[in-house]
Amino acid sequence: MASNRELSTLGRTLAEVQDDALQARARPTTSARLAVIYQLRARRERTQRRWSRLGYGAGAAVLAAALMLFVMRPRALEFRIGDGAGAGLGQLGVLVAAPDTGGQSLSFSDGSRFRLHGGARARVVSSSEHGARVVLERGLLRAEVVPRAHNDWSLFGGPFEIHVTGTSFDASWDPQRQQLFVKMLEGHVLVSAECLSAKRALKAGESGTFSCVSEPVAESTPMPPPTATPPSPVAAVAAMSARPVQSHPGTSSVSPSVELPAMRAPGWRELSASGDYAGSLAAAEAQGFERLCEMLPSSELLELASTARLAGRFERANTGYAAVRRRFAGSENAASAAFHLGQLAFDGSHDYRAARRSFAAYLSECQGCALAPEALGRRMEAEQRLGELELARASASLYLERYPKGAHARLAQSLKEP
Amino acid sequence: MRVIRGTGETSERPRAIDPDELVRGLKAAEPWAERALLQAEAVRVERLLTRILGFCAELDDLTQEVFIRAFARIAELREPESLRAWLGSIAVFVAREAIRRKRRRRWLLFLSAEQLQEPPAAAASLEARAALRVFYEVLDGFAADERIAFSLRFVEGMELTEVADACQVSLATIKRRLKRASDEFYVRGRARAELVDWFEEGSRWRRIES
Repeated sequence: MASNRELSTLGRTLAEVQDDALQARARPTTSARLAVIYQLRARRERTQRRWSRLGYGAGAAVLAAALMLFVMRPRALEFRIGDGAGAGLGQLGVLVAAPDTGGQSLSFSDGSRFRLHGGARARVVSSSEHGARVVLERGLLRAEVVPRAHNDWSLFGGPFEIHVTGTSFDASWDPQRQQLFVKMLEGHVLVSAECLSAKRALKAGESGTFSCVSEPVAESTPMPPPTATPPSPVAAVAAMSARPVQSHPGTSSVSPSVELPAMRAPGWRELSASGDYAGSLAAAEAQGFERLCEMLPSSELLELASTARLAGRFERANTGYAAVRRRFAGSENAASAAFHLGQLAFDGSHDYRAARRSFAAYLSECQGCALAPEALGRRMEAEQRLGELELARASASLYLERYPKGAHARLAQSLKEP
Repeated sequence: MRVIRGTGETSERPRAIDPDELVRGLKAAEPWAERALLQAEAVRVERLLTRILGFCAELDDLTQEVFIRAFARIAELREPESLRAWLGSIAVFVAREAIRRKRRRRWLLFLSAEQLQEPPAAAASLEARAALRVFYEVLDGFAADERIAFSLRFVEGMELTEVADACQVSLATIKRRLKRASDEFYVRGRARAELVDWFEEGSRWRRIES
């Protein structure tokens, strides 16, 4: 390689040539240079200011576009509970209960509305930009869904799903009788359930009563005469119907009528059937609640426990359901009691571990039963709330496999996705 | 080794100003301070640019650019006594930009180094002028950073630490750059007739030694 000495010698010679040339060149004066420098500086400052303005303008335009995209992005519908200024933002999965003597409304951001009648309870379990899935736990509601393209609304009552595209209807779900009643006001809906052989369409002016129980409702759950006591929500809806209740010949799962025969019954049962759950429980207490728990047959004991639950007396409901499970272990009613114990733990005491245990018990004892989709969905919810995400994902996979269009399908999908 | 080169001073002699006062004036954008810096340092900046780039038609523009940047960034200068070194580093930065710009322009416009105007240096021999032209042709093939280090070290005659300061890199980095550049220059330079005599085996080297 070249040595430093060689290179320095060469460099020194070249520098001398350069210095001679620099010395000889016509150099601008300091004043001339300063003038050019100041001119250039002023021009650059102007350009910078212009670019800054353009930058701010472009930035503002980009920001406005981003804001517009953000505002216009597909967003899940929100809903508010209540009317007017007192309305509060609703939360998915939280039970909404209408007071016994009043109503409660769920108003969605697209203008759709669900009006819960007195004593009704419902939960919005999921929502998307196209609609929501609402579970009617019990009671009567009026649904008014605004017709929109790609609407995807479902109302669930027990094992039944009412698929709505844009319509107005009344629906009631009676958990004691496991009975759904739908009365159409406008548009049409599709009612489906595993126990139905096919989806049932109802259009404006029609109504229908649906039940998955094998025995006719009228035979297993006597009702008081309409004139003797206030009508139950189901009967009330039936009474509103302008046309005879639609029947579905050839399917034993669909009850042809809600006009139920009057039967003599103990006081607490009459009151419960009329929807007066508090009065019913008071009557049961008068007879000796604990004693009734030990002597009533399976279905009546389950009914008593449900009456206590619907009256908001959760400790009594727990006692009743526990008695069903103890006395009639292995029966379908014992499995149903497990489901309701899960409901109580989930919605009442928020004991998600106990809820999960109860829903799991229901599922193990009654795989093909009508409430299995709800039980599996709520077990998944309980696991999610417990932070047991691996279990929740496993439940989600099972749920999607069994009930891909179920009420909890969207939650299940979200849990499966990382 | 410190090689003192000719300075090519102009008739506009700068008056002696205390560095602290000068930097205070520059930071306050005082015209007298900007004029004083230009008077004191313009020739040195020209020289540094020429050492790195060779003769360059844009010399006045590049010199102005160095001062425009210096005036704009004077607030960054912490120690007044390092004003000259700081200005030198700006000159190096501007020269590096010019090298890269020239490469892009040459690629785009197909201009060769020979097409750039060379100012007269009447006192220099034809051999020396030819060697100077070919020297920068060889340097045109170097990476910009290696070219800068090489020219500052061997043409401007800076100490290694001064080269490192001007390039704002570590001493070790400068040594690596110089090693690579020297090796490359030895290979490329010996292939050029105008330079071969300047190597140890050449006749010019033997003349200097004797």
